[in-house]
Amino acid sequence: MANQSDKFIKDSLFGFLLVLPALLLLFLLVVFPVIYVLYLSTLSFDTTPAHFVGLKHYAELLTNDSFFWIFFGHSMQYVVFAIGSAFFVALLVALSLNTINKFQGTLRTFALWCWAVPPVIASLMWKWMLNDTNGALNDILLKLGVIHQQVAWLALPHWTMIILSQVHAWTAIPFIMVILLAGLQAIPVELYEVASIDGANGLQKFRTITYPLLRTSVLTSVMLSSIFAFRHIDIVFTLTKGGPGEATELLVTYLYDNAFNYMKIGYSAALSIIMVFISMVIVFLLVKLIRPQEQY
Amino acid sequence: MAKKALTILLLLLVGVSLVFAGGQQEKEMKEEAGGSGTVYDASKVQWDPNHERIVAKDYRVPAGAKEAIEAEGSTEIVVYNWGDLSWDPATLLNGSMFTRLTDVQVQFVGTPDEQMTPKLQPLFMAKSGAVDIVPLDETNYANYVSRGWLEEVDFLWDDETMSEYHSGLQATVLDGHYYSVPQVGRIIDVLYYRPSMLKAAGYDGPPETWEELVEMAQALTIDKNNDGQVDQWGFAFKGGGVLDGAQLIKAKSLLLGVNPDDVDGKVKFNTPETIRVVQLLMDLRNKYKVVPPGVTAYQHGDIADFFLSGNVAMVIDPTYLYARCMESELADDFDVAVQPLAFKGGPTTQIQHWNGWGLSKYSENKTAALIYMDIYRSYQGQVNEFAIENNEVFLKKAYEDPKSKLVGYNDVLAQIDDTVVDVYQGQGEVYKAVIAELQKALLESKTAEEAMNDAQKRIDKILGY
Repeated sequence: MANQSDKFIKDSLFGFLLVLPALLLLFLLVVFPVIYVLYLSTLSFDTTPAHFVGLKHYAELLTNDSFFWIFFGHSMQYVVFAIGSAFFVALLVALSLNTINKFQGTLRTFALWCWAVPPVIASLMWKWMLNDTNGALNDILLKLGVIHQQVAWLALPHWTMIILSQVHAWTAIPFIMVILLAGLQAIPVELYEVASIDGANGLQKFRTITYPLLRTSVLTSVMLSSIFAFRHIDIVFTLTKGGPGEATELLVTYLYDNAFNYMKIGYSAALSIIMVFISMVIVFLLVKLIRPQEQY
Repeated sequence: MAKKALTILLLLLVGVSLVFAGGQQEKEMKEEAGGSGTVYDASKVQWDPNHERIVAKDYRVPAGAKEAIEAEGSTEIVVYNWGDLSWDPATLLNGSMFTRLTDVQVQFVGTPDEQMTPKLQPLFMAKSGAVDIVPLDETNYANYVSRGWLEEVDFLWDDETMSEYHSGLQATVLDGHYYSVPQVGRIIDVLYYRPSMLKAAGYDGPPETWEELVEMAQALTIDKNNDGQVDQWGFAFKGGGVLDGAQLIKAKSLLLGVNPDDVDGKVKFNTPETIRVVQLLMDLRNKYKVVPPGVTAYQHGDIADFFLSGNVAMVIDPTYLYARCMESELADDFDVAVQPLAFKGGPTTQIQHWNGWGLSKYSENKTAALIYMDIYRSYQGQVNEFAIENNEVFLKKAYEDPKSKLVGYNDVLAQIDDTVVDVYQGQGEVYKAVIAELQKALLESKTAEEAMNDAQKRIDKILGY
């Protein structure tokens, strides 16, 4: 008994030693920066050296900074519009790819290509496509007769946010599609055969078989994409820098300005911590909403 | 099991602490030797007299510098640069000159503008010696100085030396101290126009006043094929960006005799003159429709690209566009002129954007870095910037060099002798607020007066008025 216990301890110790380098790396790259940001958020850099102010920045942000709440609203709009539309398109594409047998590999590769484009490059590409005088989008829509005047897509205060969110959706669709496709392929074909025998149509099969069994994949893809969208800066930063008239200013661009343009390091650190909590709330709400049901 | 795990954890903590302590000790030792974070001892080098060295046609390294460089063990300095070095041949040339004179290599780190502070800030906060020379402009200079990240360089300046530079350079003296040298005076706004387009519309030359600008822009805004779409715009401006929109307002306000960055010592963007400027911009977009509606989103570089695309007859842009035009298809069909005045005989004051070099407080190669800065602000360094890159410079004598006289728009610059430079803490935040309100005015969600009054409320809060 004692020998078994000693062996167990030795094995455990050995295992611990094996993962120790990874743990150290995790500590240095993940844990320490979080602790450091928490520390920074309690400092004010208005003086040199910085001085301790406790939770003052948090109080300021939540109770005395009207821009925080306005830009929080913008961020939520961005996430909802972007991931909402990305999810529906991704689901359609995944359902299609799941049923298509010919050229499967090629089609799946095409479906992923926009994921391969670096975010900043994609943003620059869309910036030129959305240009009011030389942009490809205006040119195409004018020739198709959809519009009759050139549209300044990035200068519409009520619509630019939706447009930016659709640009984000374009980048997010492949990621969501891949996860949903993997979930679809895990659904047993026999269930559909049985449903067919019972006379179920396509919509009924989707409602009673596909979606319930896909909920885990839906939750994973929507949750991850929402968090990515919430902290995504490239598109807004490149296309509008928060304009026109702060109509597309997000919490993440506000954080960037405070940290690097206004040098309010402590304030922006506090904002980043609050954004982490907001992300956690988003995850909580999504889990509540899309909680997977019992498996068959 | 628990005991053993605890023991290991404790050993780990001890080990990590030792590593950090060792690093700290090494840092302290370096500080004792005059390394990072310490105040530079200028007496090691005979900087005085600065004046003779700066205006000499051939730069000479001051006495004691080479010995000081050797004592500091410097073999390379790290210089961060705005953007890729392929756009800055003069910077490379000045770097080569520095290496030839000091045997110290230069490692340039070309960084996009938006990434400069995100890259430098962590280095400064870590008190790292990974950067020696820091590129500065209005958005970061005052902030870096207030955080104590830049070395004071009073010993590089005196009244006689300062008198060799455009008076606007005085604005870079903060709290009575010098923390930089000028890189470029950079980029006074000038009017670029397409002579062929103007001629086709019946005009022999560019507009000289705002009234002429509006009239000509209307004539030059053309739907060539009558399909209801404008194919050629008369004018364009930058209503967005990080600085652009606010500096557009400032540039035009100066032509009405008011500097919004200094109205009796305060920043004031809601003067009658400034409101008039915003109204003009609104009218250009919404009433006369001579600029693309998307100007609210146009940023740094967008106007230049727009002009080079051939879809606009006139733009006002910094002088860096000149070199791009010369290398483009427009080389034979563009010209530059002084930007139109508010009215004939009106004020001619222009913004002179400022780019400078600063020395990191945590540099471990301070003497070498200071020599680099010294070369850059000297006659040779400044002539290289103007003659090769066509960037204006602050050193007045640089314009008299034979190489400088070959620059195509030298005669235009000769007409612009009244310039201002403004640098103050919070400038970036102020400009962001101004741009946001300008965009609301351009989109007609506010009147010009409402927008600028709201901008001023935000400015008052930012600057603590």
